[in-house]
Amino acid sequence: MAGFDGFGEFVQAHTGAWSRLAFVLAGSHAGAEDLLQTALLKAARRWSRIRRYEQPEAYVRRAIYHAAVSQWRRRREWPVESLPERATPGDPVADLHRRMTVDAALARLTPRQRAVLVLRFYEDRSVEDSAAILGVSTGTIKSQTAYALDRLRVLAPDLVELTREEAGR
Amino acid sequence: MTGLREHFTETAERAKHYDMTGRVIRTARRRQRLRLAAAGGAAVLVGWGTATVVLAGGDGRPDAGVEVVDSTGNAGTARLPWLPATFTAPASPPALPADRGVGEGALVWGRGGTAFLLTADGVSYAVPGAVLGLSPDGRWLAYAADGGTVFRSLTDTRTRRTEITDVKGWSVRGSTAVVTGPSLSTAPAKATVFDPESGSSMAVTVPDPNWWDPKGLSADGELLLVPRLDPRVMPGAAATGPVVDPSATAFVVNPTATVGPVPAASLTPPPSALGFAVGFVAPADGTARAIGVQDGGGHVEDGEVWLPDPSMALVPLPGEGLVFQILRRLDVDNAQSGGAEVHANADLIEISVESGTPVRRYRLPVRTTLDGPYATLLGSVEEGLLLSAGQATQPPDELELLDPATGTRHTVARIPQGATFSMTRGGTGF
Repeated sequence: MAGFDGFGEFVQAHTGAWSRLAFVLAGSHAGAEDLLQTALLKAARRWSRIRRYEQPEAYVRRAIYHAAVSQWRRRREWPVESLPERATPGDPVADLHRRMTVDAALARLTPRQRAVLVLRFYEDRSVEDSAAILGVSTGTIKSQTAYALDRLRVLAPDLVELTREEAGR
Repeated sequence: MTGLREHFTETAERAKHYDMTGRVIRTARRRQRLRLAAAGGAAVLVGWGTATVVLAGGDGRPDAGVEVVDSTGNAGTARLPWLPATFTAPASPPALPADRGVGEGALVWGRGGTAFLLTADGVSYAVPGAVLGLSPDGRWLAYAADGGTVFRSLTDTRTRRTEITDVKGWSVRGSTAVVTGPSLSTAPAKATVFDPESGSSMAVTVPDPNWWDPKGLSADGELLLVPRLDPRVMPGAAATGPVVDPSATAFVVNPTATVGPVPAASLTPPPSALGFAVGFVAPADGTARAIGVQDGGGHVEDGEVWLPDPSMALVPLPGEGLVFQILRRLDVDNAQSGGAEVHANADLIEISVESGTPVRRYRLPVRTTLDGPYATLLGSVEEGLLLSAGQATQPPDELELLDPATGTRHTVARIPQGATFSMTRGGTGF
């Protein structure tokens, strides 16, 4: 076990939160597993170093984001199915329908745009934190957020209401 | 559900518990064993002090783990969001204005000794100095002026000035630069990781600077080092990294970000039959490591050269790979070559940053004569790998994008008549 002492316990303690993050980023179970495995392999190889970090779990979270953004090689495999027809407001099925619509629209963003939205609106990270995690400038976070929200509205015109609050941030 | 935040929260609730602890540890152990075996069984270093190392084949079959991506098809055309739809070279572009931003840059082109910035909006501006770099996000332009180096924000009017530097490379994304003192006659002992956006800088000691040359940053933010061709390049190395002028416009050196003094380190390249290695230094604590580039068990094909040359492009990918371009020997008659062997740019090889073994080969069209078309690796952008392309011995006249997912190549820009390509985003030159 030399070299990986404590790694199993470390992973077990955080897998729940990392699983949720990976699924929100990937949009599919297979994609989430792929992201998590990539990040954990990276962490395992550097375990002797990162175990000494004050927050080693932050390293893995960052690695998950970087794995998501670097999906460019495999992005053709991401779900890009056609958008569903517009839902009827007030319909009990509307929420499910709308969720599918948003999922499909999110799947058509670039991995980085999706990662920026997850950082800002799932993790509630500041622009500065988001920039530090992705290794880009704060200007890039701002512009990518605006671009991604605009694109969501184009992809799914029903969602103007959905993204109004976020657009003000 | 009323907003994106609620949507993400609901999505998170549908996640499963992806427990892969055992699988990850087993895989990590296996790879660790393979790395140790590769290091122990490799041949001695060859090629230092020589121009090239040519390896003809190998005694084993190519590693089954090496994926071959076919990129030999004809290039189509495509549009990148940060490149203007039309690229013209006006007779007299205006000077880069100091009183306003011009928008993100797309590339730098030249004509008659003057460099011009082309913005994503399709407007060209004359740059008041020799261009040293354009950041991967297109937001910062570095050029030499007034005896120093100017980092100019293209989206507003901010400028950062440093003493005269070489821009050795950039972060994979964003706008963090790696700069050193001028290295024409000395081997820089320090590299400075400089973020023009915040103005912070961090000095990083280059271990064995006569051996290693800084190149840029890896995807993890480590300083990348490539071996110098000639290890006899000698002392007289600058004792410190570039000095940043704190009195310059809006420039603040972040004292908490400066590491030092970092003890001198020794970084010996691991064995590699190819004589090619890559070094890494973590800026935060100066920890250094190196990998020897391996041939992957007979992956080097007949007539190929995997060149240990610091001038070659070494492109870090957003994930865990590094891409470089190999050379292939051309059959040229003596009258054309003067009796010397001639090599041309050939396939792209992606290696693992952990083991140095090849994981992917992007097979480009084979150039068999001096008169054929060629492509040169420039860098990577969010959409894929950037190549310059041209014919015969003429300067490159097209910019191509190689989609790593499919291997297809697309022409994304053509240089207008009378102009030459100079630099693209994140690149240090064509």
